[in-house]
Amino acid sequence: MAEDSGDTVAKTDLGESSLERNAQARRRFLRGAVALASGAFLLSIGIADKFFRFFFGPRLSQSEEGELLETRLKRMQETVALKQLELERQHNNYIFVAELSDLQATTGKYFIDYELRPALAFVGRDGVPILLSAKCTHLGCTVGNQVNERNQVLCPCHVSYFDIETGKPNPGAPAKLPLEHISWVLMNKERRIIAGRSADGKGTGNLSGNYPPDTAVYIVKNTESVS
Amino acid sequence: MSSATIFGAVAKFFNERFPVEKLNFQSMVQQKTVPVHRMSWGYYMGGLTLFFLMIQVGTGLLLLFYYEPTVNDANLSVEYIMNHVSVGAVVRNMHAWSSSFMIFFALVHLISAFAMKAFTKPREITWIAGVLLLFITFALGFTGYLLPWNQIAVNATKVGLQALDATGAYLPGVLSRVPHIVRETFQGEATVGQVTLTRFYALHVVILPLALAVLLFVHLVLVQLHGMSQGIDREAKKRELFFPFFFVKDLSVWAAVFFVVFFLSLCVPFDCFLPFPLLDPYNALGATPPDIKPEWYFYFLYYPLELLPFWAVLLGTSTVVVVLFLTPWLFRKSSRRTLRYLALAASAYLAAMTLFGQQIYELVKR
Repeated sequence: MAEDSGDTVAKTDLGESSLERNAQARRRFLRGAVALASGAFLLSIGIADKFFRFFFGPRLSQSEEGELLETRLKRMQETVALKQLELERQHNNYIFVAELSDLQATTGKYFIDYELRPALAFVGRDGVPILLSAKCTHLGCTVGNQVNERNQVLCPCHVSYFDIETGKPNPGAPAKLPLEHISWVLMNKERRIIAGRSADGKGTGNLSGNYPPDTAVYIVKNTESVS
Repeated sequence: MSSATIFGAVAKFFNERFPVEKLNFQSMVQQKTVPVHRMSWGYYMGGLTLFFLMIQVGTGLLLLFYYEPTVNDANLSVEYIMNHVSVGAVVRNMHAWSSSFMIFFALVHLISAFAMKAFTKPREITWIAGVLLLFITFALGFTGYLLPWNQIAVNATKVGLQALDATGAYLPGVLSRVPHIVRETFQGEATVGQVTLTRFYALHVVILPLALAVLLFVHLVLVQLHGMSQGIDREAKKRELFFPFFFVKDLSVWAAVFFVVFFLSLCVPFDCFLPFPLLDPYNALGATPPDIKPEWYFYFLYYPLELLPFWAVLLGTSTVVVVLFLTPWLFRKSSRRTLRYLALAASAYLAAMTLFGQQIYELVKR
């Protein structure tokens, strides 16, 4: 009986300490849960605040607004200029590329051809212009405009070098076809054609390389116009 | 063979692939189990891809509030999102990082499903839907790349479209015109311009996501109907219930990767990942920037294009595409060991081209 009673006491003690441990664990869990919930609540307020501001939209200072508007207008002007080029190519038989004196042998001048593709204009060693399509014949990247010591320009996409005189790619290049030549004419300041060369290489007029100072280079819509 | 027999065979095929009697809570939720074995990690890959898709949808919707799909404003609007909009930079970074993760996990999912032979009867349609989903994911990457309208993006798009066009030279007869017509349809005008941007935008935010949603629905319903594939040669000794046990694990992995993506987006702008930050807007009169490359997930195609003749790359790519679609029948009798070796070889190729493509290129070209 006494033993029974002792056992009961021991069991009761055990039960109480277990209950106490459970209560402590519960308190710890609750404290943890409250801390986590508070953290989550604060975090969600922070996130909600950020997202509210996202939808509300930024409120820029006057100078920021001005700067942004200026950039936007500049880009609009560039877009308008491109559209004008497009219209010009529909209406005009000759399109101005550059003053001959502005063309260089080592750095090409980019322009847009009649098909609205990028093209390059150089002046050759003989003083006669060279006009080439800048659309790589491999996969259509725009080739670079810097001429290397071998008289070539580079397409950086898949590394093809093109001779600017012949348009031909270097042996082993991914591009197999030459860059297309573009028909051009030279006009003097009275807008009279003094020389020209069609895409297939046929030349006409004065191709000596000696031209008056105000000579300008034009591309030609119809190749027949060159002759 | 009579028409009744043919109809019967077709009906049997679809009955086996779409066991609609399993379209109930008990089969799809209460009884769904996942085998536990050494390849079990493979079961997380599809879920992870889905999770990154969810991030893409969420962040993509947020970007729609500010992005303007015009050649005039596209680049500026991305700049505006990055510099002025509250959490705009994080949202855009998450969209960019998550797109990379999504493609990565879609590839790992495909390769691991292949290694686990998860394409055999009755899962053929699940596999084909998965392959189509992977292609749509790549298409989303390609179309999304153009949207910031910078010099790299426009030139990369030109290259992509031109490569498509170039495939025509290797096709017979009237088919040779098809790639050119497809390119002109996507491009919409003489050169990559406003019409192209509008079309890519429509594809990126409406058409491709809709196609993806339909295919994903089919893919997920079939996964639920057929359950998880066995994955290894012998029946797994242990299986665990999908709900709640595997699902909770899935969620834990999602939480971990979300933390990683969020941390990266917060601290490491995506632009740092590639040496091409949000570049200057496209200039029709400008050169292609030097060292132009596509996104890393196209390296496996880009470097072979650099090194091999176009026809060889085209032949290789077409073969891989055909093999992917015919996998359930071509590898029906292959052992999982063989499939694992093939999967390892494919992974090694992808990893080598992605990580060491430039070095391989320089080595070969030297």
